Amino acid sequence: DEALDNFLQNFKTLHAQFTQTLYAENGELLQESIGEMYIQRPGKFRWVYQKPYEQLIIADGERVWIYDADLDQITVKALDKALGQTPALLLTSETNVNDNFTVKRLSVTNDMIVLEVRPKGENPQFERLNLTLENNTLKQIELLDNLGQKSLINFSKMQKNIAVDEDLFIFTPPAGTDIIQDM
Amino acid sequence: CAGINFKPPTATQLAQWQQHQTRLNAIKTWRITGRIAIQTDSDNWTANTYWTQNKTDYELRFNTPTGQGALLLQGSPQQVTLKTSENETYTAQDPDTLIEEVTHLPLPVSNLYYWIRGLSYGDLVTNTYELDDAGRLSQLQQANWGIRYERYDSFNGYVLPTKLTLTNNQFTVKIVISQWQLQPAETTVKSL
Repeated sequence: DEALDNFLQNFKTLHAQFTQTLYAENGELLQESIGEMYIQRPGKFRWVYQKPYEQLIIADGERVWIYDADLDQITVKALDKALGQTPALLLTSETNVNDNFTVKRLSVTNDMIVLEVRPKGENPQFERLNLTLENNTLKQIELLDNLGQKSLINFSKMQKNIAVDEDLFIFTPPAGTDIIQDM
Repeated sequence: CAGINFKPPTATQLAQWQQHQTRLNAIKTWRITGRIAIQTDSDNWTANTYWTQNKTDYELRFNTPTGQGALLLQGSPQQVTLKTSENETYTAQDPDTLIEEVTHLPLPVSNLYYWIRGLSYGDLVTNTYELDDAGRLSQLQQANWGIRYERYDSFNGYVLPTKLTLTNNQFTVKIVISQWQLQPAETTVKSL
């Protein structure tokens, strides 16, 4: 879908605040969280959950680090193993979207486009994902996972192609936290 | 490791513990929101956790840190079902064997029903536990797990664990809880 390609191809960096609301398969509200995210194509993102708990997820182009201060735990995964077919892969990979996903246009209303993205491959890690673009920027991601849970991520204060400090995508482990290699 | 010697409780601590235990036993319906990390020397697993308990029926949900569903355990006295993100469903009589068989991770769910509230499974046995100065469990040795309660917080009048670590000779299980929603038995149970 050229709207998606157009969006993905001409953003080098993205920065936004987000709220994420998770619903169980029966529609019950499970959790609301807020945070901030940076994306730099290819292969880098910084996903910070601020409330109700703090958790830092950094992709540095090679690996994905997950740091949970309260759990006092750092998990490291190889980038491709971690991203698999997650929304983060869609937004950060340079490969053509159609290699990993099928994209269908659900609706267009003046400058708002809603696209349905389904992962290809035998065991996809999620069912489908609806992406809402508004004047060529990302507004919302609604993800339906394989257990029927729905995650609604709404972005705000979106900045596109601003200069982003490289250190944001480098994870420096705080002293004394145990690091678990799970490559 | 029976070698550890725990500080024996004072009479006051024991009295506080009795009172605390009675109040906690009254909680039969709750919802916990938290995170869990299971470590072995070769593998590890981190997940967001949602535990809904409604008397003898329960639902334990494990999601990846970015919110995608990984495991859904639904149980009642008659049957336990485990659904995975690979669209497989398994059933068994008890949750512990089911989780161990499917994920190879030992999550002592039946005992956690007590431990997560800061209770022991059955009565406390001398020299297998230590109480803190408010008469709550700080350490417990039970069912060959060592449980350490690192933090308690209060939620509408109940003081409940919000950080605990379980260790046995192979695994370390760390649990942190960001929210307890409670429905003590004496009030009517509205649907969760």
